[in-house]
Amino acid sequence: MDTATQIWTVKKDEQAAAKKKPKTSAAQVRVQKDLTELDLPPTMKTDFPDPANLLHFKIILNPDEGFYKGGSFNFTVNISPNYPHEAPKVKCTQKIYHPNLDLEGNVCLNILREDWKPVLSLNAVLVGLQYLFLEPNPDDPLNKDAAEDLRRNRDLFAKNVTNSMRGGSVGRESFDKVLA
Amino acid sequence: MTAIASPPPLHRHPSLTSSQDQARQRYLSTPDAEKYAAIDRVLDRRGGRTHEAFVGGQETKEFLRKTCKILVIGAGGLGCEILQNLALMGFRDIHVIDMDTIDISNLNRQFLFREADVGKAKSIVAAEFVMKRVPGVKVTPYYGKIQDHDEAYYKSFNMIITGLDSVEARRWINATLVGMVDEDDPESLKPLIDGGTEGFKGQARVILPTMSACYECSMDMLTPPTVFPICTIANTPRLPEHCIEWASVLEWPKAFKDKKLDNDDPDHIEWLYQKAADRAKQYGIEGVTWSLTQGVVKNIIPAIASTNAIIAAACCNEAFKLATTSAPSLDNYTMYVGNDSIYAFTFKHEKNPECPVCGGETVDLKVKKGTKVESFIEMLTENQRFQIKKPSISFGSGQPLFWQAPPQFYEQTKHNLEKDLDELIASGDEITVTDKALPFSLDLRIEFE
Amino acid sequence: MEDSVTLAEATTDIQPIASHRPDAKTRRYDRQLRLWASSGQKSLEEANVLLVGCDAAGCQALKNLVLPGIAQFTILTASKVTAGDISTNFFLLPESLGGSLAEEAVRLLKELNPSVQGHADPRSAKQVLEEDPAWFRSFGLVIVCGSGEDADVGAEVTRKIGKALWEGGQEDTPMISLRTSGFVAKVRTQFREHCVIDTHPDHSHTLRIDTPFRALEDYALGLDLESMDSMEHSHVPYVLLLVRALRTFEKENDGKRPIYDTTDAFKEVLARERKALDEENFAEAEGQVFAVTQISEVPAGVKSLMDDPSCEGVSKDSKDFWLLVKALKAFVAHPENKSGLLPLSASLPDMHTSTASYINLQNLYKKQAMADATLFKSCLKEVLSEVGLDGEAISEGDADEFVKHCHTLLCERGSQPKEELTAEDVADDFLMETFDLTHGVALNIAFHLAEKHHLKTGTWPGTVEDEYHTVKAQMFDQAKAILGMPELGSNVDRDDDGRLFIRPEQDEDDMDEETEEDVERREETRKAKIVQDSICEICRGGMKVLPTTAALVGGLVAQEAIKLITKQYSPLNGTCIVDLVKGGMTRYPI
Repeated sequence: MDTATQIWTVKKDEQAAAKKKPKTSAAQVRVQKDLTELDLPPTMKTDFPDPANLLHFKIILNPDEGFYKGGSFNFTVNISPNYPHEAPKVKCTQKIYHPNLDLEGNVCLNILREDWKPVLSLNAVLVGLQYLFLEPNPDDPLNKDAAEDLRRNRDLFAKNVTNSMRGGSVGRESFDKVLA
Repeated sequence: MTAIASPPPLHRHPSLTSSQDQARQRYLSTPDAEKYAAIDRVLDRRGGRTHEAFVGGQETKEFLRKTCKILVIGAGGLGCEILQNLALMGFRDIHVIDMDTIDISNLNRQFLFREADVGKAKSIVAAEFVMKRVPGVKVTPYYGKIQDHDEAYYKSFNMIITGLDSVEARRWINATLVGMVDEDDPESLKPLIDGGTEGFKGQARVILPTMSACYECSMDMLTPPTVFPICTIANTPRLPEHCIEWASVLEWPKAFKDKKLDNDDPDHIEWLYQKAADRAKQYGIEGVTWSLTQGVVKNIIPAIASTNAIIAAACCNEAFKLATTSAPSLDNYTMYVGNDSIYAFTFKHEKNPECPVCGGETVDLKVKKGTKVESFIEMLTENQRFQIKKPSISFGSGQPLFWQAPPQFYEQTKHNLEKDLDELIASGDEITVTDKALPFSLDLRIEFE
Repeated sequence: MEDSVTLAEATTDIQPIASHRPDAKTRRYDRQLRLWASSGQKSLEEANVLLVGCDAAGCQALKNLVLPGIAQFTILTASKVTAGDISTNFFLLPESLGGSLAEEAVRLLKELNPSVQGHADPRSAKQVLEEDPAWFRSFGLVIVCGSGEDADVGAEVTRKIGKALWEGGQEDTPMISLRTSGFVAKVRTQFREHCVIDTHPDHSHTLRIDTPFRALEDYALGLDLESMDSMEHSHVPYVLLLVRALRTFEKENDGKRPIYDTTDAFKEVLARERKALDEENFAEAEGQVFAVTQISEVPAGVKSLMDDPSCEGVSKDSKDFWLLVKALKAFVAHPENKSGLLPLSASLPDMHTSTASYINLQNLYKKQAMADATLFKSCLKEVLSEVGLDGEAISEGDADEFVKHCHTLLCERGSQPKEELTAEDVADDFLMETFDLTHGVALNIAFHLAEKHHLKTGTWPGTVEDEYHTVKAQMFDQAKAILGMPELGSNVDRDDDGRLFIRPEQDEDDMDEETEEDVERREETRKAKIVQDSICEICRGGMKVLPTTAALVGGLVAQEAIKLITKQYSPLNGTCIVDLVKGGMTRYPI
């Protein structure tokens, strides 16, 4: 009797084999589920430059209220093969004036780093991003100057945002034009 | 008594004295029954808890020593120990895969390597060493990635042992082995024995793909990777780790736009260390050292020979038991903690019905030829068994057949609604259905009638 | 790439490298230094280990000690290499056949680490025991092999070495003895006393929020939360928020402090200062409320050390550990230490706050910790002078190290193995075992009986084919006597070969009709089966060493050796049974 047969003799009584047969990686299957269940608000769009690759795509956010109304913000989303054990990596491709984004496009959003859990989905990430543009958080800033402007003088901050979105400068920094 | 192994060629080893050579020849011509007396005890005799299916004796020994082909993934801390143990236990056809080369920091535990081997491929050096030390064993190395091989390769083994430090590689081999199981072919089930260590702690488990909990079933048991909020790193560092992450996550990409950080390059670590140390000094934070910098950036897990020995031995013991049925196999997870006296805990990890790899089910569904995708979807939503409302459908490959979201894919696939399902897939093909109401996903095997 | 360094760079320090970059030795030991640090490594590099007898398990243990870099090891055995040795022991070669077992194994083990010295001593242990039993005490640690593979060490040699070491008094050399037989094994540690300062607990912060020290309290109460802007407010360390809430609570409750039952009321006080719901520092504070409701005290383990006769009766011959504990006791009672607690630890967990306020807080803790340490050291000086020792007898560095870890000190007192097992030693554990369906206790009894068999006959059970079944039956009777089990029930028979044979229980489906007697009989059968299976497994293996069992035991022994040598972490005190049939380990104090 060879091993396989021995194993089956020993184990067969325990449980009949199920039939599941994945053809794609576990991360892939999970992304597939997340994507088909995305609940995109009218202010958000996805763009898959290569539709065959579900692990890399873009998000375009066009806020319809708040400080950033009228802007169009682009993000890249990179999902590692360890998803959902690891959070997706999200970066803004434009240089913008925002308390929670730095000038390199890094985004400070808790669920993208320390508070990520495998039970969260891509939908949660999109909701988080949208909220960040509706209610920037000046108390845990990434761009300290922008945060300070927001804490000190909301009107001035609003002016700065508008100016920056037109491609203007705030202080010594000039920003990308992001008007829709 | 007949020796099972064919006697090795009787040529004299060049570096041996004549008396040593005589001793060598005498050993090589010793019958297996004498050499393997210790192992034969448990193969010739039955234990109190040995399964009824145990045959023992010559047949079992022949399988172990002649037929059984075993794959070891990883030739690192666990891998070195595993190779040693398998060879000594009488496995003679061993294969080993590793994509790494030997580093000086491996030498405190990866005992098949010496200083002169630094920079060489782990799998090759390990295989040569074991063959030199244990006569009669054949170890076939592969220097590369597990993903380089296809199902046919993995099908050629009787079982697989992994000693990996990567979650990703474990997920891959696990999913591959689960995917290979064909219920009509018992040979397609390849037991997977997995070990892991961290400091004085470790775990070993036996996975019988599709029959027991798989690696993916227990992903939630893993400790999530340590990550700090970006704003903390950028603006309110408090710990030395925050300064190091600042240097690697934020400063490196700024300073070197197109050069990727190489964790193994001491010059890169040096740069990060300097940056982090400067920042720490500026903020009055103590504790940034070279060693901590390297530890944080590489996510170094402490590792010692003794823990690897314990876990690798536990894994190989399971391999031996599976190959011989001389004792029941581990069902199915054992945890070992050695820092506070000795504590081991064995338990059965239950299958996760929502596991994306082995959970869910494949349902056979008969569909009339000429059914439009749109009416097929309607059928699914009306089927009481599935309880779904807004299903998306993917081909077996994962590519969209009809997706409700995101809009780009909806636009791209909505024309399929008008098509006949049998235009898109062949009879017997599998499709995947995802829906918010499903715990994970549902696989359907479609037969057209 | 670190991988591609030249050999010269990898192995020597000749190449000039930047001063803070680790040298070759640090790089080699990097993965273990992250566990036991340079202090542990120093102890290892001074360790002199003796292996008595030489089998696969013993050599695996040595391998796991040579790799991390002990100073030296010696293998003591007069045996010659057999074919069975070569096929089970990775540290022997075909050409070793017939050679000195000690010499051959030492040669190959030394290859693992060029900085380790290895010595082969081809005398027999019996001979050394007769001529110079004190010789064994010249080592820092003695490991005694215990398979039947090396005829040079049997049950008697193990016992005698154990005695010789035990008789070394308080400064005895610790011993680890092992037995392996097929799938099962036993590891036992023996030491009179093993004191550990750094046990590596999971957490080591003592924030003492419930009894804040003066500076902490002043700082917390002096904050003006009202005037802070939203950012500053949401970054006040939670430690300070809790201290403030504690004082307010006490004021409003006639000086009563919050306890577990008033947690909600305390949380309400805490929430009053909260400005916005999403303030993370307040969320952290709420999560740590137990740090206020639980009262800080001297941990029970440390208290019992301070009440130990070894602490009470310190003399100039006492171990440093006890002198330090005595000083700790003096510190706790010292009028200048108003808290009546142990010295404060300087470390602070991470918390949601700004860099400046974190560093501020950290400095407060550091300052208090340093003041406590200074007071402790003056207590130590007094203790030292009281027993007639120089004030510098214990270095400042050692005293600081002790203070750092003083909340989790450990002292284990060991025992010699029992010559006779009685029901008292095993009955309770065995009862547990019948519920858990593990075999640890029964295996321990079986090993004990196997040793007795060897002491009496000079052979191990399961080695003489003709006696295989009769020895099993004898051992079963002896085990029953130890456990006080009744005579074999009517359901237990012996077959023609003398093998014990338990008939399957009848009427299993007929549970309703089961009488009390049936239940009892079923329990007895179950127990008998566990005992019988365990004896069977040990006889099956015939005290031979399976390479996997040897490797596992070698790992366990090395871990224990490292813990004993470095005096870090908590060692096994007593016996650990390894059952690789099931894949488990259990430990017992005997």
